[in-house]
Amino acid sequence: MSLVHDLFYGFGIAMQPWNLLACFLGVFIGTLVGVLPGIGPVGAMSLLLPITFGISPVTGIIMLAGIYYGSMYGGSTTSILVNIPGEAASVVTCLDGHQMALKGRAGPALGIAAFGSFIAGTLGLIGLMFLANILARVAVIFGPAEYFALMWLGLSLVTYLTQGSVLKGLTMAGLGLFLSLIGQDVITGKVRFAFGLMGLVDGVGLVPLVMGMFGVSEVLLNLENLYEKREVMKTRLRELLPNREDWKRSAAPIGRGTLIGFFLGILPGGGSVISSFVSYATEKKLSKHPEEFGKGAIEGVAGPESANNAASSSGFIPLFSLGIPANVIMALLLGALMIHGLRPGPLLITENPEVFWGTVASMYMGNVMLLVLNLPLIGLWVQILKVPYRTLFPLILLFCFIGAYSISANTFDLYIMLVFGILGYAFRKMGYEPAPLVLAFILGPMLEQNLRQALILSEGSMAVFVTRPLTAAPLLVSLILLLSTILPSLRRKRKEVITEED
Amino acid sequence: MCAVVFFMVSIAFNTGVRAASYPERTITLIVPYAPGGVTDLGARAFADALQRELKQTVVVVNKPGGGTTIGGNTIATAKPDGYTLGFLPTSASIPEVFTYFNEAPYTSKDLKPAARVLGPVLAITVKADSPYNSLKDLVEAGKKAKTMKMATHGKSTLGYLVLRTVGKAEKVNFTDVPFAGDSQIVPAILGGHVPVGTPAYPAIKSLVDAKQLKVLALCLEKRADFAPNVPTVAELGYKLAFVSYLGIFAPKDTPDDIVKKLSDAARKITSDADFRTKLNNMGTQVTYQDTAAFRKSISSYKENMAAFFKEEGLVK
Amino acid sequence: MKGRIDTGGFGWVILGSLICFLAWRVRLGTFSEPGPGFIAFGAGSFLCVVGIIMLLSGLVSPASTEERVPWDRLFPRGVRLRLAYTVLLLFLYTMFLDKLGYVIGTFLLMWGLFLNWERPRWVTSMVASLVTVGVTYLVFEVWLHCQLPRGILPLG
Repeated sequence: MSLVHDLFYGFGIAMQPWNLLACFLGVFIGTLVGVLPGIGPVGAMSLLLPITFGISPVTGIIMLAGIYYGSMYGGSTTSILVNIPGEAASVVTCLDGHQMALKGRAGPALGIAAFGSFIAGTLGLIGLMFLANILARVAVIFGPAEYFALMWLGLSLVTYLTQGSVLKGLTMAGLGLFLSLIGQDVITGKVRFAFGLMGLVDGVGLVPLVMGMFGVSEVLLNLENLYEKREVMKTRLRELLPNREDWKRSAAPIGRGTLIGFFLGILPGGGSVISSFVSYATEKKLSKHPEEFGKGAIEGVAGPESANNAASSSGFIPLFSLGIPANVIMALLLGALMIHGLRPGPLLITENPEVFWGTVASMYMGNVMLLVLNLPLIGLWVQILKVPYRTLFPLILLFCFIGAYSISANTFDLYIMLVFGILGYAFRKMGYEPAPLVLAFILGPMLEQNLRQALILSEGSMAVFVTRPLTAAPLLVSLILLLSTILPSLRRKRKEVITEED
Repeated sequence: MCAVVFFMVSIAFNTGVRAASYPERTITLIVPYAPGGVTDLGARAFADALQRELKQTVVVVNKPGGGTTIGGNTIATAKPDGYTLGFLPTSASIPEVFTYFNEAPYTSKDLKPAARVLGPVLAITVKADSPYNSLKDLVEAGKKAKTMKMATHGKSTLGYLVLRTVGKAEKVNFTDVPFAGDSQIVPAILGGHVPVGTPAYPAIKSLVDAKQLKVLALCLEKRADFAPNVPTVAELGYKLAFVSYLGIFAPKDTPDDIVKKLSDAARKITSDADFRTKLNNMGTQVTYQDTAAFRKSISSYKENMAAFFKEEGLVK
Repeated sequence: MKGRIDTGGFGWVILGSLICFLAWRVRLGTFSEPGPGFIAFGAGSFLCVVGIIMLLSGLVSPASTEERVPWDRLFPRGVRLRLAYTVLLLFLYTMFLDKLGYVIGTFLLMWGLFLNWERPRWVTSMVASLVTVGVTYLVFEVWLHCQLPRGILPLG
């Protein structure tokens, strides 16, 4: 029962007025920066970092952590409303979330995202409390070969992200893979495919690419019917929250998404990014009506959004128990703790219980605050869709610009965004979808580095990929997945053309 | 509005830089890394202290990209008035020796070093249950084996230099397995995927305390303040061609008295106990050098590195 | 439509070959030490293979997956103008953002974008763009410290 005792101790700390205020401020700022596309939690957190030098470490961490998971709640808002994913994790949310919005169901989409996030975030915390020390060991079992196999499995999910032609999806994935390789090669340190452009030395930025492919190209497509009345928006706007049917369809995806997100989120090498993709593919595979996916299936929002938030809870496991940050945000939290002389690691929970338990307890409260904060906002967000598009689209473009600029304060990234906006427009006109490109772009660098590291370690032997269960299993699954989707699609080509492409 | 007018007027009257009254307005400190990370934190802590020392606002601006040379180029092309300064690492301050990896549009001649402030510390690290208890054990084992694999940050970094230097002296065939950062090197060592690696010290400190990792040596010339019991690679008899640093740089035509003012301010800041604790907590070593000394070490590092990269075949 | 060569597939084969060539130039390496072009070569070859399959399936199957949409239907004239205008504005904005600064540049961009072509209301769109600039400046620069470009005005 020491766990209950520890948790009460944690709540005792989190309930102190200052910490309560810090928690609220954190989730409030997090919601704000999460909603604004491109402006991620990283910028806000590094800005507030010097302020935390002066306050107690627990209060500082509570606030910074609040910004982080707060931004995860808000991250899906622009994906659903205007098809701009603010971060990698909400790319998948665009697929069905924005389609739901186009059908006048933005409210339920936002609602299920908020509830799913709340449920998954809270369950993730319970997992974090019970399993932190056990699962920390799991995180290091994954070496380069295992990561490669996992990334390869992730990449083979590409076919689940496409609605139309599988072949077109595969070409987009190939192109995305190549684009991800531009810039400095981690293994040799050499710059490649940069064509002499300084801005490409560190590669194509994810945010400008995603905002171009989704946000800008969406605006360009919509320019075509700029002065037409958008009737779809007018219908059923009063329906703000998910109804019973929505809940019935979403319950299982939220559960599965939580599990997927929680376990993948533990892996420090980008597990949390692929969790939303894995969840989407799982739901599409298990669904009785996979043809609805990509056209506004609520499962396609509920699953990935839950996965994304569960991963943000379990991402604290390697940080608190090993001192290994799973992403830039965790690295920032690590830095904030270190400046105060605290060292996250195996001894943190015993040596500084106030930090661990205080933070965990504050996260429970923060999740409740977020739900209370976000539900009333849904009504406000839905109102945005009532604004005529000719007034809305310049603002969408401006937010894309500010978001892309704020990442590196460099106009080069704006050019990148524009180029991908135009490319994305052309591709979508010709029936190519941007999601497979983005997935391959995200996984590409990890796939490459881990494969090459594995080969250096094995001295060129391919045996590592088939002899170990943790590498062989994902590779086998991905082989089955690929064959089961490509073979029938080649045979059934004629039928598909008629049924799937209008 | 009044403030704006006043501001514009004050700029108009100060086109000729007067060092005596420097600084009269906000100083921008360019950091060539994205927000987060130890370097950015160090820069922010330094900017915070500089602000109090000079009694002027110091704003940190992150200019990541180009393998730190975008930030470096911002300084190289900035107005030499002392109001745009850079907090630059080795790769951004002497880009001409890294041409094999990346071509930058400027060289170290376009920059004026003001003061060396601090340096990140790399640690040669093994798993706690590893049979190696010292660098000597590792070398002996390496002599017997065909190759010894080592997780590093890449061929252009200090970790690679150290292992090649040791390898050459002892005739051990070290093979580097480059990783994208400490957050990947540490799990690889912990999980036993590589026998040894060179992560940054702050990333492993807590795991060393918890007896899950062991540090064999630090990649330094002198022992670190925060780990006085750990031997350095230099004292074990290997001469290092260079040691990573972070320093304050200005555009090349910046007046000398402004540079002197900055160097003096940096000296005061780096000798402040509070600042040193903050930096040591992060596992970075405060290594102050004034302008002249810093200039000297840069030029010797430049020569040594050029020679080292040439030997390794890492030249264009 | 029977036996029509799929231009899409053809394009992918060319792009794939180009990527393979670029990859070969930066060194492919060996299996025990893969070079910087190792995976890129794989990506290029993959594009070639998929492109060839597209080409073949276009030749073999009577109904090609590639729907032939005439250029005019793909880009109607009015749309083309509006599209070109918007893209041009966006490029000009990017080009002059650093020189003009956020406040002036964004004001001009927003004015241009808000302008209704059918019923131009110069003043209304100007006021709207002024408000936009003011609010975004307050949120992003003053509150969130986004480091927006300063330009010729001493704001920012």
